[in-house]
Amino acid sequence: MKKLRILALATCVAVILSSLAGCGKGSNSQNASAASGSDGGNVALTFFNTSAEVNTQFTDLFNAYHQSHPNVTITLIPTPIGGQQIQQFQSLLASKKPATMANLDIGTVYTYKDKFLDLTSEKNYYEGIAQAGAIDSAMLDNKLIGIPYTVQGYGLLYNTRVVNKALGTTFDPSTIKTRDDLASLFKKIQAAGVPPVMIHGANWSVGAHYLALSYALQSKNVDDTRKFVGDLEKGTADLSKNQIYNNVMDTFDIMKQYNYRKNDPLVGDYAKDASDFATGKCAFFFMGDWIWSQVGTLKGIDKDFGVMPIPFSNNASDYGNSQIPVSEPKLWAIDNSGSTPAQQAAAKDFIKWCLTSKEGQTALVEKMGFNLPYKNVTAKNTNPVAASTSKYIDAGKTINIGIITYLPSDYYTKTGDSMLKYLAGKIDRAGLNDELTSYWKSQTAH
Amino acid sequence: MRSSKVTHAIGMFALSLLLLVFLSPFLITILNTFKSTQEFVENPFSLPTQFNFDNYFKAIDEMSFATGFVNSLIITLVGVVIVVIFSAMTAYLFARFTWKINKVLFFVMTASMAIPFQVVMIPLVTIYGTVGFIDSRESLLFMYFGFGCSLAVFTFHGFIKGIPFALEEAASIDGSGRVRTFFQIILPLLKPVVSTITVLDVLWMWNDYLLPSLILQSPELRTLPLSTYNFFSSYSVDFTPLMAGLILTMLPVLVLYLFLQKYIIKGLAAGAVK
Amino acid sequence: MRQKKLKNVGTFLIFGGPSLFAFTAVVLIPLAFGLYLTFTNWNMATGTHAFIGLGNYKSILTDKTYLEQLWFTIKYALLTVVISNVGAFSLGLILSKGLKGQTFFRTGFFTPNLIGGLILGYLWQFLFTQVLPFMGQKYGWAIFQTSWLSDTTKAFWALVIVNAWQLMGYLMIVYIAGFVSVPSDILEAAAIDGAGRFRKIISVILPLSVSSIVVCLFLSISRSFLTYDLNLALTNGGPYGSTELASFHIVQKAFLSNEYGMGQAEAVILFIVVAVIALTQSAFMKRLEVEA
Repeated sequence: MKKLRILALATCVAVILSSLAGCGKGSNSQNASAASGSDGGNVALTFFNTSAEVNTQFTDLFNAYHQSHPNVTITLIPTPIGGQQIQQFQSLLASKKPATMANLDIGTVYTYKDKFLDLTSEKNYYEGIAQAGAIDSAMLDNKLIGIPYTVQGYGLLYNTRVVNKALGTTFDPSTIKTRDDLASLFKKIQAAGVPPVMIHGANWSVGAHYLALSYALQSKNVDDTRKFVGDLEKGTADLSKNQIYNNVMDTFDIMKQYNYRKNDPLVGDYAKDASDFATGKCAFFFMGDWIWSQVGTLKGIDKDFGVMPIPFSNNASDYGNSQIPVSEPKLWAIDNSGSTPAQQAAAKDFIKWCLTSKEGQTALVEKMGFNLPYKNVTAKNTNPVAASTSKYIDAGKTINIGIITYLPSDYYTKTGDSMLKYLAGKIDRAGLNDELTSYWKSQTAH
Repeated sequence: MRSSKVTHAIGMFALSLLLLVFLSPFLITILNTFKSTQEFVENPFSLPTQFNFDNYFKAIDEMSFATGFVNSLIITLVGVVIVVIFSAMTAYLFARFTWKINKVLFFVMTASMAIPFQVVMIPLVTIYGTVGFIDSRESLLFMYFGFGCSLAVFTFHGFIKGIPFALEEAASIDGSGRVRTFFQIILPLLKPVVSTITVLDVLWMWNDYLLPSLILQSPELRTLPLSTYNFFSSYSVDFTPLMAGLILTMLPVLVLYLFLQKYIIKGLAAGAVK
Repeated sequence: MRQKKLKNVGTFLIFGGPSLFAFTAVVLIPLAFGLYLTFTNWNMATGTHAFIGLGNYKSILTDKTYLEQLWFTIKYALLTVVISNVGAFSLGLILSKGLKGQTFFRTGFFTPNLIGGLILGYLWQFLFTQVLPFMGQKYGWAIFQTSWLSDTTKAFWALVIVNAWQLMGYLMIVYIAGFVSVPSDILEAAAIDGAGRFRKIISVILPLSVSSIVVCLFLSISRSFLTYDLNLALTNGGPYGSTELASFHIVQKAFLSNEYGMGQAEAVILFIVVAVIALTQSAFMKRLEVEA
């Protein structure tokens, strides 16, 4: 017994001593690593990743880069689900150990714009290698502070086999030009015994992806849509009397009426919804081409999927009826709050390598399933939904939803929650209008 | 006599049933670790088509299980020893020397248990990031010590108060100093509480996610819970390997708990002197 | 006299020094810094802050949603505390009688505590959204037909149940530790007196367990008021923000809405509420203990 006690005491003393020693050591090693960045020796970079589903693929890519660039080591900082990502990002900033590179939502990059390196001087280089307009839509307040690496489109995804079977003919999405067309399409599909459409009952889907269209469709120009939202905040614009908003919501009513999840609309289980759609349990799904990273590897799914614009009015030529919303939701930004110039230079090189080398492109496109907004991409994307969105992008049939970058960071939870209440029938249109109006008005306080 | 046997049997049956319902989430979990995520999502009750350990291999591989295990072990063991010894000493101080300052400090410590961690989170990383005491085991251990001592002091305090003074008085007549008295007389009597605190703190440190995620940034220092989050993606969770990882993470604590539980009972029997 | 004082200082430093140093450095100083931030409009993104006095507190205390959320948290904590303590007390009582397989049962009921809150939350989320509706539809149990987490009231109960489920095993151990130290001759004497089982509990065991009840109430009150991980993983505040407990709301406010000073001020108010409740109950129970 006595021995045990002595042992315990000895351990304690040892730990305290070592922790004191560690104190000194800790600060030394920090200086050492900072110094090594400029010593022309090894450069250590960190990469803060909010696309947690491709953590492993990123780690592999970093290792591959280290093979060909032995003096650069990149370490991944994985992030947990949802809201904790921002919490962790802020903690890193606060602890003065920011990640050298960060893969963040474009809105987050904008919020923390002061912390990131201004890459505007490289704009010409990137415009040279990127697809037309890709760099423009990543510009924040006319500055380039993050490099786009993925372009995503969304809309009404359809399962070709299921839709064809329900209609008895080959479905041509370009025939659905107006809201009435959509309603009769859903009606026909339902008559064939197939659930027509699925709405994913999560606030990010109905709030950020759907409702935000009512701001984006106000104008093709982001500055105009920003002004519209500003008017909402000032109370000089009235949502309930806005034609475009009402159009968007009228179409939502139709989708709501034919919703596959009508009995329990707010479950919002992404894995379940995605797998049900991919295995043909319903015909349409309001979602985007990112779905492939969830379902692509499942067994027993259908092969052929496409995306279709959502008609918001009965005038076929209205903006939005034949276009799909496309965005560059995430950017790679380089830290400018605690990184050394050597680290920043190495980070810039790495990003260029990713987007232009065969190895980098293959990893991003084939292994991670991203749609690169760059020219000369040889890697082939196996994602059929992305292939479908690419067609709209190539034809210029896109809706500019750049506005969401400039919305307050809690807009999608707050307005998305109001949309969920509406989806579940807890509030009616007037109630929704009230909640949205009061949300926007509350923003003027800041 | 007979009827009491019957009641006893019924009672045991009811208790077993209750336990079964109580543990059903885990039983479903274990069943599903042998299936693919897709099989699981489609029907959580189906028996696995074949028993495969793929999820376990995947978990071990993707979590870098060995590294995580060793890291968690070091942190937990050292952390618990520090918290237990020093908190017991402080509790002794507060219980036996009723100076005003002790009363105030004890009150402050007790009250601090009601502080949401999020309140001190950003200030904490700001302060320690600025002085550079971060991203090391020592730093994490120091924080566990600081956060863990209130509950431990509070619990020890309650028990020490119940120990009669007579024992220490005898020792002090013998000329034994305060420190020696504490280690020779008091600490052995605290065994049951030590086991309790050990179990609670092991569970806390072994499973903690938030604090290590803020403090430990180097991958070679990562503890097991940090690695479990490899299975989370932005909007969904890769359930089956996550659950396999969960079972693997849980097993060591379960074994430790079984071992300590015996010890608690032994300790309680010895402590029944009071 | 002076020598004695010196000796006392020495005792204080040896016994209290290490813990108090760590406690001050890790809890008190960051807390003070955090408290200072509540009087500012600190912005994490730009790093700028200006002193705004009591502005944050004023806007919180006039914010109806915050007060509703605080009330929601109090309701949640109250139910959790009652359910988990009654359950833990009963289980502890049953499992201190020397039943066959007692150790096994104790371990079994304690198991939920072997896992961290976030993962446990995801596990239960899956149960509530998939497994139970699957069974509900198969066997026609109306209560499980739809997910509990998509209904305001049921989601509230889901939180209470899961938290009580986990806490129960934890508190049970503390109660068992308390029961073991109830001298068995007192129990025997009560049995000989012919005290009925229920009366025995009320009149003998309960008063002798006051100290474990104090500990358990304190633990369960602070744990349920500070529930965060479970809230995040199980309901994520949903459906439509109706199950945001106070801690969750604080984190959302501070980090998602980027109003750090305001979130921090809400946390201070939560702290005051919990401290007042917890300390009042401790003081009250301690008095009972003295009387008993």
